[in-house]
Amino acid sequence: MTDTPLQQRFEARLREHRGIILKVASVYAAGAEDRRDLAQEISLQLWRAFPGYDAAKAKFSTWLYRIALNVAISQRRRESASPAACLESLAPHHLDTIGGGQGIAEPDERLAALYRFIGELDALNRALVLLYLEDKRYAEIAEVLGISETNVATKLGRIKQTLRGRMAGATSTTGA
Amino acid sequence: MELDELKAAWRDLDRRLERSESVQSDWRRELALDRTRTALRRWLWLPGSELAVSVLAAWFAGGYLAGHAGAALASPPGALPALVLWGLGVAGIVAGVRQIVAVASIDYAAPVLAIQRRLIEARRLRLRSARASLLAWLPLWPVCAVLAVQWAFGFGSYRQFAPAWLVANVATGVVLDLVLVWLARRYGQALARGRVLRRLSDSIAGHGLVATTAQLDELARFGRE
Repeated sequence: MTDTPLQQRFEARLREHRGIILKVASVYAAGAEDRRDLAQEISLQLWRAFPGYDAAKAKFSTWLYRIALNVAISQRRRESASPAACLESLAPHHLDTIGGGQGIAEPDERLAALYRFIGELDALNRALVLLYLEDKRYAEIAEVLGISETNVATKLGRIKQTLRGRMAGATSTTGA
Repeated sequence: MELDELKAAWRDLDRRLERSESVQSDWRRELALDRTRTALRRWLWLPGSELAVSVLAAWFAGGYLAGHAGAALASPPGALPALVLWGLGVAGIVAGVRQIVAVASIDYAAPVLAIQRRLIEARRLRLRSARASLLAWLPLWPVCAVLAVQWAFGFGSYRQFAPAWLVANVATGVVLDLVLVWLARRYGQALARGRVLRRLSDSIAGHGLVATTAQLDELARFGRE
């Protein structure tokens, strides 16, 4: 069976932006299998929405981030019953499952710190930090999340402050 | 470590993910399995059945009222059971349609905060409707019993039921509802064995409703500066 032009266009776009899907899945799913399931569900939802994509309304990456984050957040919420357990925290062995289950060859303290930090955030703040780490402008982050630019700046400021405080605490504890 | 320093780690992760994990071919397999649509169909099953039962109730009660319009006008208390069932049916139709529209109109390409709010609101609507359907039958079964007798033995047979019997049964139903809610809240987690019983108990207790309210509050807080 041959692909339709729409399928071909979709495949090309998916190939170009697959990193976004993998990163969203890696931030919202803890195990290798969950991550693969989530990436598949995101891809499928993208395919369903693709005919309605309008380049005049939003950049492709903005459109993709919205769908990927909406699918990831709602899937996580569906899977947990209570609001307190709204988001599974990323397990310490999370990094072991990245890399097609091969794990990461050499230990990387920075990556471990990154996942520890992301793992402590709730679903919406994870989205915010993910977009920030992706070097998105505040305007685009605001567009994806549906909040104001000022709100983005305020929240990121608070997160940075928390992180600084934690690091200072860790330094004083270990340095004493 | 600063948040900006984490960006370097993030880029490193990006490279590792790019090298090792695939997405490309999986979406086709997923499309063939059609799991998302199956999940959606499962989600729509409950409001769909509620809607079907409500349509039947409204159709039956409405038809009965229309067929006995003269008798109903001459003796209004006799029309009450059919009117109550018709009202319940219409309320069920409105709730069912609202739930189906709420789910069917969700566009995942809209901003995250707006879509998450709509998803939680749709879930809250479903939980409220399911809880109301469960709890309505205890106080309202006597009304349905009177209507069934009227349907079988004629419009005037409602006079066989003493008003005190009806009031006592409705009141007992309300009290039983309150006791059920209390029991489900207090002992539901401990007593309900199995997935179905646990869900039933949670639905009566309203745990899901409390959770959705907390989730909506969380979204509202996130939306505020």
